[in-house]
Amino acid sequence: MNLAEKIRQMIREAELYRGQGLLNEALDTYRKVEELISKNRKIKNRDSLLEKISARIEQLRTSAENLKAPRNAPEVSEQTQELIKEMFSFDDPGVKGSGSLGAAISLAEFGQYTKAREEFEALFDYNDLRQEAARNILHYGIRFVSAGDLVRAYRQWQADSRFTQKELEELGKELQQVLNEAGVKEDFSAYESENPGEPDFEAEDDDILDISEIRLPLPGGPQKGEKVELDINFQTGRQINLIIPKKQKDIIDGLEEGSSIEGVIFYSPVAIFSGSVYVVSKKEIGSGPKQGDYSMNLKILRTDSK
Amino acid sequence: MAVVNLKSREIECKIVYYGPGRCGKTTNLEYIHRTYKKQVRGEMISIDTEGDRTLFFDFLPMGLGKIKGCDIKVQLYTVPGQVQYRSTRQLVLNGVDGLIFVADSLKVRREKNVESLKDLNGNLKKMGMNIFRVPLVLQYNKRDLENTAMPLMKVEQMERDLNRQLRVPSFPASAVNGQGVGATLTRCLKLTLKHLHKEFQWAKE
Repeated sequence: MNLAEKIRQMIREAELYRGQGLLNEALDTYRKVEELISKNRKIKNRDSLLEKISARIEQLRTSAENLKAPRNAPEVSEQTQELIKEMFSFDDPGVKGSGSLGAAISLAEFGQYTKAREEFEALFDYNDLRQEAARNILHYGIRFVSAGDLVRAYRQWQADSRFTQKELEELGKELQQVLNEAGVKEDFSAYESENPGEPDFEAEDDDILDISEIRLPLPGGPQKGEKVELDINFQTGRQINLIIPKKQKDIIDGLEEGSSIEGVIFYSPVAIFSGSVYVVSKKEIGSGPKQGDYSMNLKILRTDSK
Repeated sequence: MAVVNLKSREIECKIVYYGPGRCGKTTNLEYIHRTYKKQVRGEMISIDTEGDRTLFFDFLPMGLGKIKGCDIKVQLYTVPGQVQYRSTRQLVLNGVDGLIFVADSLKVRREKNVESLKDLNGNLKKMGMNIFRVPLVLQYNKRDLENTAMPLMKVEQMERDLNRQLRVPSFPASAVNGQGVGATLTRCLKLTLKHLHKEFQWAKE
């Protein structure tokens, strides 16, 4: 077999793999073709061939990476959700309603968190299942919703008379553990206890509106002097938590723990106001879907109407 | 786990198609859905992602009618083959009564076949099941590509790779045109029902 025929056959092979959805195998074969052409300077139209092969490799590489990338499970049809409940749930005959708990867990396992949460919440009326249902809301929730959503859920349970004090205490510990595992270590506990090193706060918790975004002037780091806009991950009173993507590490580098920042703009759904914040903590997230990103806790020191 | 109701003489069992990504598990079910209309008892449900990869599972309910005095219902499932969906495979595998392992005949998929079979063995162990005892059939898929001069493994080589220790029934197949699909399923069903009979003595002599 001459070289041209060999190349043609390898390309046919690569295309077959691509047609079969075997993108990595197609990619490997195209790379071999590329190497073969690169080594043979006598090939006619060598540069143009290499260019085409290189474009194909890039296209395949992108598709293969997209497939590998973790993705959220799509919300499936109601019929499929019912099937999941029916086919994958388990039941403890000794505990009334446990079949419903098993069904809700199945939904959560298959990424149908919104529906699963509804089903878990419907079990709050059962004394034997309430705590387990709430525990599952936290356990699965951290994969699908923000830490703030879970803290808010816990706050609602605290105001819900169906939960006993003992249940709430245990769920509080569970929430802390879930947050720890997700890398947002200080957030929940910091809300529970004050750091004695912090300055006095002029703003009372009751005075603080819900904030969705802030604009911070960076006091240091490579972007010193620049103003950056950041989304709020969650807020409890005057404490706010931000998640900074790892590619924006410059922002983290520009903010020192224990420092105060003036000239901050706060955006809430109903108003924009200015004030100052105190950098409580900043930390790289060690595990979970946001691993490598940074979690930063700020406390609002003062707000001025704008 | 099969539901065996000896009073109403009904059996419902679960058959799972297992194998590496892109080996043709969904194509098997699609062919069955198209071809065995009399036995199919509902819509085939498929949840796939971009690029036709199975994300959760495919599901096809079938009814075989009366066999030895029992009404036999079968649920066919596929698992997602891609490596990263390990936990979903475990969920789908839970309660399995019979297995069809679909292997890809392409030479480049040799290692993936072995990896997937090991993954199956590991998942069965976690469920307290033994791969040597569970009703299992192997299918060597994509034999139609023999005509395309593509690098394909010989059936003998696949037997050595995958079936040397298991020694279970195996079938060359081409799920795209249906060759071997029915034979694979029929054999798996026979093994499964025989296995269930040993356990529940459901069949009337």
